[in-house]
Amino acid sequence: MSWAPAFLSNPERFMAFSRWAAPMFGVIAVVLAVIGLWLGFTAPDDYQQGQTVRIMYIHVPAAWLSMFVYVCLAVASFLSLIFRHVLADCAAQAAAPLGAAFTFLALVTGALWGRPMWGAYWVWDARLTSVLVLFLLYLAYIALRASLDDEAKAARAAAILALVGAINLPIVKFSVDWWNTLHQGASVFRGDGPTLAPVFLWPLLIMGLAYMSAFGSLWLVRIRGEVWRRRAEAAAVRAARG
Amino acid sequence: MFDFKYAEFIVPSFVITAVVFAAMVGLSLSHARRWRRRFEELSRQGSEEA
Repeated sequence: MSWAPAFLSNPERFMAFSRWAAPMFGVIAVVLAVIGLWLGFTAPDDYQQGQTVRIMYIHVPAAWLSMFVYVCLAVASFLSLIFRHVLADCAAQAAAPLGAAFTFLALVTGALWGRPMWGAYWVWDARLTSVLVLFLLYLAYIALRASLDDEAKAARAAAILALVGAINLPIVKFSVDWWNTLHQGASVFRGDGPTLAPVFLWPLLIMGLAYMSAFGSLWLVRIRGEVWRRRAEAAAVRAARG
Repeated sequence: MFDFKYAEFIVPSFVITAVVFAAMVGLSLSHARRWRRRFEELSRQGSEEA
């Protein structure tokens, strides 16, 4: 992964790479989503959950991405804070709204799955509550950046918030092991292998890759937008100075 | 295949997901295009003045 910091330190190289990579990831996401949804809707009903198992194909990848995007946000924030890479700050800023959207999807589709299975849209168990905290962290990050006029100060403050908030990630992941929760335990990423039957596992993994590709594409587009915004503002300052 | 049992939960899940994805795509593209146009406009003005 030695190429990754090179992109972070060289905006021109990043812009050239993202110009073709963003649409490529977008096309891959659409193709994988079509395959994943086809396999998911042609799979048999679950013997316990019946038809509602279909919600798994959109809920679980959204939950995975809610955490993965936060890891990206925290890493980019760390690089921005320590090495003052402008592109790392752009990456952090671009990731936050996408992470908030995936977390929102995980919460809403989880509620719609929980109602028929648990009899309640929402329970204050450790998994659901820690994911809600994750969602609030994303919103706090976005609000903090928007509330400060000085971009450098906003970037520093938001990066510190993102790094402090990263403590919530292991809590989300292990909440189902550490506490007695209504939410089920891990059934895919386990030490002893997945417990899902292959007929459900494959569509789920394909949908996970589709969500990942979609995030990759949208993240690159948003970083490009951020780079253009900063260039435009720098050009506006130059024009104002004459 | 889908026989509309639990449709009141399944259909909104997929509709909300589609709407959020559409919003993510639309907002991300419009943000990038708006600032790219703005930068090109300012660059053009700068080079004309120079």
